[in-house]
Amino acid sequence: MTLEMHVSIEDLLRFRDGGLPAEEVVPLSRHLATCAACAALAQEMFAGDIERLGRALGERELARSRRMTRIVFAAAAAAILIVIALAVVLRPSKSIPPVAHRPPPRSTTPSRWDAVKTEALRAGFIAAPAVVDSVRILPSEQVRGLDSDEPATALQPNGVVLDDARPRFRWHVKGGTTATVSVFADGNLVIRSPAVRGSEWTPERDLPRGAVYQWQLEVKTRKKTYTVPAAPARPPSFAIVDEESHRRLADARREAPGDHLLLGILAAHAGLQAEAVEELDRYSAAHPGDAAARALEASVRHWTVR
Amino acid sequence: MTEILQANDRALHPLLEAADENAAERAMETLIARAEGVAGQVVAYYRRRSLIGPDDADEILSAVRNRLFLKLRRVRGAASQGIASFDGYVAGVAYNAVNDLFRQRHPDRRTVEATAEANDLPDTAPTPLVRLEQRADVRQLWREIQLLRPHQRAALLLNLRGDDGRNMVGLFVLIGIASIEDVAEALAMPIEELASLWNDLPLDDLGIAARLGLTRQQVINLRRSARDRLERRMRLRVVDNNAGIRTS
Repeated sequence: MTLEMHVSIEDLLRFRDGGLPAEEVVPLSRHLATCAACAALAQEMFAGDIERLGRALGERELARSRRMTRIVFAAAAAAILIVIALAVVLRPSKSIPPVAHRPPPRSTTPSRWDAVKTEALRAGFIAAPAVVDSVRILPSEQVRGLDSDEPATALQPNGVVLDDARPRFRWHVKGGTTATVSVFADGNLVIRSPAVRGSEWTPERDLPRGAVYQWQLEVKTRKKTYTVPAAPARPPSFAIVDEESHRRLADARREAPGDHLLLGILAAHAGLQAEAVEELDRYSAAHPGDAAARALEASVRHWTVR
Repeated sequence: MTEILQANDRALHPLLEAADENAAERAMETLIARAEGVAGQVVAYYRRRSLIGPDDADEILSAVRNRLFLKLRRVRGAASQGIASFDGYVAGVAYNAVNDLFRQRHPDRRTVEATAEANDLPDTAPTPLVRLEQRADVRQLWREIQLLRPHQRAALLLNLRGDDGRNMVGLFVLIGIASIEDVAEALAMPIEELASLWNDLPLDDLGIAARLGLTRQQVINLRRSARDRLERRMRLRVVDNNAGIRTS
């Protein structure tokens, strides 16, 4: 796999922070080794980390020596205290009353999933996370954007948060045309499809998680090339849930596949409205008397009509 | 002039070639506008992770503008090193501003081992490792790392973390000192394995011990001996360099 385009600033930050998908680590590294522009970008960008590396190595070494000294002193002090304590305890004495044996307290710490559910039920609602606002389609935007003579309509995904890092892009297109999908994040091109004859396309690699994307079509007919939607209409946008939310959901699906209340709450926290409503629906169907769960479901449904 | 232009990103050429102050002012405004977009990407990255808030974002963007303004004036007056990548420079300024903000806000996150005890530390001169300043220093460090024994390299590199706790091995790749293949070779592992491990770096001592078939204490000892050797070697290099300066 090779990178056909330049790396973005976000790619470099993800590489640095350990948030880049594993399959992109090697292509990005190799691209840096061969592309002078991207190499210069990265070198300028992370020049400040050079000092940080040296500082970390030096300070850690000094601090470790210091800590080891402290540990030795602390151990010696503890040993002395233990000797003194044993001398006092073992001294024969009739005045010390017998101590009743108590079993150790039973652990009441709830699992991490129980805490998630308890907190949500106590709140009584789930607010839309920021990512939902970032892709929300305003009512005024639902009717504008696509002129009647534009060659493609019904662009999806739009206005949604997705868990799938390889979303399927779909559109309705008149016959005899080809279309190219361009996907952007923060104004930078992230991926571009080849010219597609059909009306859908799925990327061959994952889009980075935790980002909001806009996309557009370049439709070629025999006479003309159109960009859809045409300016000034807002391009369709969507977001992909971040790595942490994705992992939590994946863990929950694996560890508690039948816990629809939990899965619904986690999906809602990630911004996955449709999935959250579906899971909470399934829970409510099985627990019709649970008003608190119904309230959660209502709050998530409410996101779109706010 | 040609040399100055070659040392700088093409985006800076209008500023460097400006015939008068008005033209320079216009070029600078264009660059600062471009910089806001670049710095905005760094800020947006950290905002999406909820690591900074809207007020922080404004503060960071303001810091970037101020720093850039001063830098551009120095570049224009040929009083500063060139900027090979304007976008990279701006992204770096923003990235460092975010790191500074973290450090101010979470001084304890500058790691347990590091400055939490800094006030108690003996006032010793910094070791050469502490004085890594340029790519050449890191290149020398990497050469020395390559000369370590395989287990020493693994114990050091798999746990190499910055003062913010994050993986530092990537820096060798990011600043063009080592390729990803070099890093995999240094760790004696296939490149695919390194890629799958990348997001889990730095590993803790138990994780490294399990990989190497050693005990945790052996890993700690290996890393300590690796650092001792690196420190000695880097110190020798400083002595050699100083001798070179004196005799030249």
